Amino acid sequence: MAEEEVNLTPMLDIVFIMLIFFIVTATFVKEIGISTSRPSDAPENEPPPEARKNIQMEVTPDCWVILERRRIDPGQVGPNVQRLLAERPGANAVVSIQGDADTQCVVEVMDQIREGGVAGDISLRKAPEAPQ
Amino acid sequence: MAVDHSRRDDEEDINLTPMLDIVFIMLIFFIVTATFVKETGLDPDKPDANSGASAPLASILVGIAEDCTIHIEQGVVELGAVRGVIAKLAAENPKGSMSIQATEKAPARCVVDVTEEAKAAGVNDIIVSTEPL
Repeated sequence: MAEEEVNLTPMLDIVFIMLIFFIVTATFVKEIGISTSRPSDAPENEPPPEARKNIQMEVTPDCWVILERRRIDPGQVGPNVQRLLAERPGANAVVSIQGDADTQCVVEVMDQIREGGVAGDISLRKAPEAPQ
Repeated sequence: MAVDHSRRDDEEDINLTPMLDIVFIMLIFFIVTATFVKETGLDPDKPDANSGASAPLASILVGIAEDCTIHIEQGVVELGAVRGVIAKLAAENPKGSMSIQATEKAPARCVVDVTEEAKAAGVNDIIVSTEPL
């Protein structure tokens, strides 16, 4: 009986070393963020039907938001988006960035869009250069 | 002494099976959850946002500094080379998503540039990293 037992010690050694390796290299990244997507370039001349539903806005370099031709503060984007979303349920949002608008400003706008209830995509894109 | 010795042979054999079960389960857990994250080498002052959701699978980290330089894996990468680097990282961690860690004051157009390159590299799950208010 005693001789028929397999010696498990070498396997245990390896298993323990692997276990310790994976414990030590385990990095549990705590990344918090707002998901984004970018509108595809493909449908240049024929926008898909759902494109009309998108809530579009522009962020100016001095951190104002142009939504429906009105110039509003980023903090007011949420309620406005909520109102627009009631008219267009399930709409995505498109944020156009003018010039050198900084990330804090754009993220604030994205935050407001999410708080306004947009569950779908928030697309970021660069606004075409305005002729001035 | 003689009595002790005879006992050691028969009764003192510890049953290792339950411990082995646990060790194997832990091993498998750590193998499955292992994502080899490569830090960007940049410690950005991330923008504040309330609605940030946690992204536990973020494994491709891209840092964007105030002067628009792109930091990946402890080094600065030119915009033209970003696509290749991201594609390589995505191949190493196919299930991982991407996180853009931009400094608050970085121009947002640089974030858009990196997003475009990532999409071109086939990475569609992208977040802009924030910190809670």
